Amino acid sequence: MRMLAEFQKTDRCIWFSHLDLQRTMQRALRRAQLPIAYSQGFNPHAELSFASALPVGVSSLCEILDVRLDGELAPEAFVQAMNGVLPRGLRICAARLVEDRFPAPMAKMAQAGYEALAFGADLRQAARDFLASQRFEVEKPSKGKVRQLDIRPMVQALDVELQGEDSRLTLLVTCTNADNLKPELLLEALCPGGRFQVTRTRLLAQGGAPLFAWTEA
Amino acid sequence: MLYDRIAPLLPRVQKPARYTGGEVNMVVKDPAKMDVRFAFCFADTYEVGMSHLGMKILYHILNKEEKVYCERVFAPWVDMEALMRENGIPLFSLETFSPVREFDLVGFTLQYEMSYTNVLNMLELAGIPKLAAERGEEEPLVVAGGPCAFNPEPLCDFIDLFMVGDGEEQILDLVRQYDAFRKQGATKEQFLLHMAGRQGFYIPRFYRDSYDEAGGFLALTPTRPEAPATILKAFVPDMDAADYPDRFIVPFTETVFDRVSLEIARGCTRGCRFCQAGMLYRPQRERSLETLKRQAAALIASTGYEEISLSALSTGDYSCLPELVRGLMEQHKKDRVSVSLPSLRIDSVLGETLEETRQVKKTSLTFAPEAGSQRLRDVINKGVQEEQLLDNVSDAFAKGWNGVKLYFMIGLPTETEEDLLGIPALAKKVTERYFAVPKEQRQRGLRVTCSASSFVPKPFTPFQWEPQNSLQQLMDKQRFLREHFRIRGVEFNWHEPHLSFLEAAFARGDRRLGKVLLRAQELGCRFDGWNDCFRFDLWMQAFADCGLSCESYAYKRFDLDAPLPWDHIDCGVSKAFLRREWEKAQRAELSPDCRLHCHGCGIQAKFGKGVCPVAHAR
Repeated sequence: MRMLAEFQKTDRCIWFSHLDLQRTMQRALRRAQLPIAYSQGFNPHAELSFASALPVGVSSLCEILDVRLDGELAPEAFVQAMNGVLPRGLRICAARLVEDRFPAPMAKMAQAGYEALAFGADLRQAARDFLASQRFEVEKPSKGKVRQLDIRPMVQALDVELQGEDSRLTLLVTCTNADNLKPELLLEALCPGGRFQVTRTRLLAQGGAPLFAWTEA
Repeated sequence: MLYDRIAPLLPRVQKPARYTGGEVNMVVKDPAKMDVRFAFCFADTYEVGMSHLGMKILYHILNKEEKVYCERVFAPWVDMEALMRENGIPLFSLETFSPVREFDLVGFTLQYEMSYTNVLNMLELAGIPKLAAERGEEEPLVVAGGPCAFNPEPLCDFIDLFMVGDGEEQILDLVRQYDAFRKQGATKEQFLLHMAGRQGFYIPRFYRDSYDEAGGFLALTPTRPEAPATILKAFVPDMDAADYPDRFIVPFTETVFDRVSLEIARGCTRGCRFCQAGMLYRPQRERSLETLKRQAAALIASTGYEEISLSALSTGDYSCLPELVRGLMEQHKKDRVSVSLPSLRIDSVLGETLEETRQVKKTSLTFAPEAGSQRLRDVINKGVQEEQLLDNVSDAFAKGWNGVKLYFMIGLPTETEEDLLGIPALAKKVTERYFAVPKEQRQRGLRVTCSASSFVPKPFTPFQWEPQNSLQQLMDKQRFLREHFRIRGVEFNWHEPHLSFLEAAFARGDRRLGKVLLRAQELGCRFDGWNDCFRFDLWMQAFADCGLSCESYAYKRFDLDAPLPWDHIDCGVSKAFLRREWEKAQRAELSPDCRLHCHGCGIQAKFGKGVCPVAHAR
């Protein structure tokens, strides 16, 4: 069996990387002393994966952890044990047991939703211009080089609401294993040099469907 | 709160998690309810500082006090430093993002001479005047400890109080006395005068230095009756009774040593004549099997670490090492925890211990012959025989190991070309032992790594009177070795000799070097130990600007009878013993391990009968 768990990454925990998250979860699982399946070899580690890597500096309310078990474990017990050992800023909200052959959440990932605050900027016109464009090229640093990337087809929804001095943006963007638009790339294009606070709010499968139901049908 | 001003900078720096704390096992308290706030400063990056065991121990001990809050502070990397300066953000603690200048006590641990500019740079970033003389009653008290506090003179202009020796009990003494004095409304001066009389505390402002006409060091004289002529190190006699953390902070981001460290022993009985730690931490004191197993169990449970490393100056000398390794492995087999032995001496009881560590995880083997010839190994009292080393290596290769690291030093006293040639010759013999193992029995892919560092004479060693080789000599020797190091399967590394040159000056430096240090930091020197930051040109300018020369310190041969700038510090080992050892070195005469023969180093005379388990057993 496997345990799928939805968790939040907030507070000071937004500043460590995906690799750090893996290490942190590994050690939390060890502290919780749960019946987790471990790999063979000289460096045994828990067999775990995540639905999608979260960029450094972005909060999330909807990350998904997928971990293989080697014994009986109730979802409620998993949530309770893990929340007892996780640092402030990482919190499991829901968990569900699935069969080993249940599809990996990572494989079903298609889109991610974000909420962003852009401080001291009115981005309503910039967003309208963006949505009206056919192509929208930005510079993306990649492996020491900078390449041009058309991000327009990767943005499925972009709403802006003015909130006092700031703009509140709601985004829906491509997020698959192969193609993953980091929200900062879009935000930086809309508001160069701006200051943002970004939260991932949804992980979705093809066509905007939920990745899976948190309770068995 | 400061965090709100720091957060916007974080997307612009490398590894932002260095600056945000919040890790598992971080201590959380309400600063407003504290009697004493202690900023524990490590003058290097987060990754280096978080790997340091001493900091973990003292953090734990201080925070066990209900009304004391010890928080961590590290040197920001250069990208973060630039942004902090640009945005007027002062140096802050990771626990509560408090400005360092709001703390009562600001303590630095001095691990390495070449981190001194970071100490000054951190004070500057904190907005605390660097010179002790310029700090008023409102400013924090700046204190320092660690191995470099045994020759604290180059830092005397900047530090109010040094802690010399084992910190476990001493640091509590400091905060308790501080708290009591402040509650009485005492001034800094009154408090420091009081501390001057307590074991292990050195208050530099109560001493005056003097020099002869040629600039040679003459004396350090107390200027107040409360200041003793010599300061005896603080000392923890019983390691089982000494406090040890039951939890370590578990960093989110990768650090240099990210695992459970068990300090199995302090001190060393070998008496290598170049080794400062081997003299400073005498006598050798072991923790018992039961204590170590208990500490390991608590730490594994509280951290979730997957590895335990055994830490000591000479791990292999622990009296029941095989039982310890076996016991730890049994205790943690179900947790899938591996046990590693970092500093194996080549003549340690390897055999079964080796096999046991390999069962769980394969780590590469490290040997430190230090010198290439038997003659020179005898001079430095590294009582190691070549045949022994090669037999151990053969054994390891036959058991499936394929990685060996060999550490050497160049520029040791009396070194000749023949001694140097012994280094590649030994590496060659190691590879021959590998190829002598039948092909089907040995692990493929031989990796022999040879590192040569430059000898730095250190205070409180038998070589404290010796000059360092000149920079030119060291560079010539490195070139010579590179030419002789074209051996299949062997990689040769060497250290930056310019850095060792400066290290030598500061290791045996006097108070006059304070102004060089200040000047170097003003010129922009920091993170000198990091290749990409080290600016030798600026250092030379700093010396020139102060009218001093680095050569006169690094290349100095002290007269055996001359006063030394660190004579006022008493590490328990007598100068007479160091001198006898120096004389034996000249004759390439060995001093066997203390466990075989007591050489009368002075520790027992100083701390009383029974403190040295080895001397006591005789």
